[in-house]
Amino acid sequence: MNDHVTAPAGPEMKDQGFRHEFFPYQDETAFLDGAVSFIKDAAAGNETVLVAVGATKQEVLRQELAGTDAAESVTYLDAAELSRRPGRLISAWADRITDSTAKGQPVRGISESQWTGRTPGERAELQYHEWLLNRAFAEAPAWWLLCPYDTTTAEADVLRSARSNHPLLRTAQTGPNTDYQDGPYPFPDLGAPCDPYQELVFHTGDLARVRDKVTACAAAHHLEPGRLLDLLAAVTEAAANSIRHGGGTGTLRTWVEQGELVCEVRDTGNLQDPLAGHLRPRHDQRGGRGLWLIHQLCDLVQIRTNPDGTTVRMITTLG
Amino acid sequence: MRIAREVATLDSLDVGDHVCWLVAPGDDYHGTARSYLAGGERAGDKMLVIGTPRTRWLEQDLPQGLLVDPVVERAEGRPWDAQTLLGLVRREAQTAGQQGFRTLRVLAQMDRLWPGGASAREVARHELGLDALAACGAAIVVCSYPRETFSVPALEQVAGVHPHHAGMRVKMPDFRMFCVGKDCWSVSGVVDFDGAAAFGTAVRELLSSASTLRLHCHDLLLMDAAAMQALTDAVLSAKGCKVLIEGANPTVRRNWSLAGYQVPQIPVELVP
Repeated sequence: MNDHVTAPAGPEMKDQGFRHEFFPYQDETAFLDGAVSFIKDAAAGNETVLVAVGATKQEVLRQELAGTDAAESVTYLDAAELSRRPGRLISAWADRITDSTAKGQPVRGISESQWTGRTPGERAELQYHEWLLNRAFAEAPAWWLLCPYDTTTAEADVLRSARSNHPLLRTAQTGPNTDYQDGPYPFPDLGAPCDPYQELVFHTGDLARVRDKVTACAAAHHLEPGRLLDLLAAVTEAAANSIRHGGGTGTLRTWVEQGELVCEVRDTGNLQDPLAGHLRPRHDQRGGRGLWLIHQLCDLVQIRTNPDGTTVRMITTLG
Repeated sequence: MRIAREVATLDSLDVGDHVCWLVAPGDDYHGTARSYLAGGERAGDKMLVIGTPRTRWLEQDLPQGLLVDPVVERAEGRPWDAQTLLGLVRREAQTAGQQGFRTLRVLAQMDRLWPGGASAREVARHELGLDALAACGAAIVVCSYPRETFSVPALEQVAGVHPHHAGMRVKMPDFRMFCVGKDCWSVSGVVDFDGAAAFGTAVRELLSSASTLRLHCHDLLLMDAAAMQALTDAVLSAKGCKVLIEGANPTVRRNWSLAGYQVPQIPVELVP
């Protein structure tokens, strides 16, 4: 990543790969100064600009850019949706980058994640996926992501992770972020299942039993039929992965905790690629769709893997 | 419309039924078979039994019965295989009506057809053909499969290509595939990693005789990544063929698209 850090800022960056910047600011004026200059630079270089910020920030940006050429180069995204399901964050950006680069246009993004109202699990996964962006786009075509953080409102753990997860820091000038941690990522523990929980050890040929167990738990908590099918599809993929890659067997646990139905699949396999399941599969790709579908079908997915085994938690919000 | 179901006994089958009877060691094979055939006698059916000479009692009890043992036929120099069985059933089904019978009632002891077991593809080819015959109302067919003679993949294939099931409960694929019209097959239940190979084999077999295969998926709950891969592999291996997936639920449709298969390069169309 050092090549990126030392590269000069500006439109001439277009062939330099991924730049991921932490942009701390203290008030709206500072936010606008940083964001607007970023957008205007992009527009001058005929770059596409994608902006995912909250509704209020979006409005002030629109007003600030009104009447300028730069206004035409901006597409606004739903920041709340991007933040709500962290497992889909990388593919959401990747899809848009693919669209833009197919037209020969480099991409810049502004992404202010929406931390308010997130559960601790969602917050932890969002922090991890901000870090994972560095890996996901390490070999990607040129694009530049600016991540603003309001230091007067963001909580301490959010700012701490932001400093660790961004290779570049934008203050008066953009430069290397000395707090950046390239890895390994310090995952928080998932914590123990909430009592009472149900458990099923499964083997080859047991996928129907796995679904029966999940269905029973979901029915007891009145999960809507369409969402149950999505959950069953996700759990089937996780259990099939255990059978194929996790030693031929696995353990399913289900429980309900704070309005969320949790289905956990554990096995003795080790997931080598942290990006598995984060990028949209091609039609001619063999395998690699299970984790992708899990991320697309569940409200939140938490994965922990080490040489001793892998745990996949699939969380569906009830009600 | 035919629907997939478990049958508690063989005593109350209807014309068009095609039953997979998985026989466990110790099961009362003769008692169950006698009862099934006696029901046919009462209903005025013509009986065709593919079985051993030990089942000679059937002929004595049931004068309208026809007993054929493929093992004996082969020993006496007459070639006898799954195609022969299919041809015999077709022929007897056609003549049963002309002879005044209600229908043809078949009991096929599959370990006499395949004493050394069979591959999943052989099973698929034969049973899908038999199912197409039964589906057009030509017969009632019960295929008995002793567990000890057939491999697990073959039994998984057997379970996936019969609409009706009787006998022991074993770990089996969660999907059922059966004929509901010309080149139109119902797929119900869940096609997952456990059943993907059997599903793919069945689709390949059907595509060997149809350029457009309709899969009636109104009762299909889920198709997982392994099953979708098996389907695309099957259709891509059959040059110039395509599959229409009819009536799939929103989850199946969405997952197909998410999996990246909704592209012109994959000749599978999801239609209402």
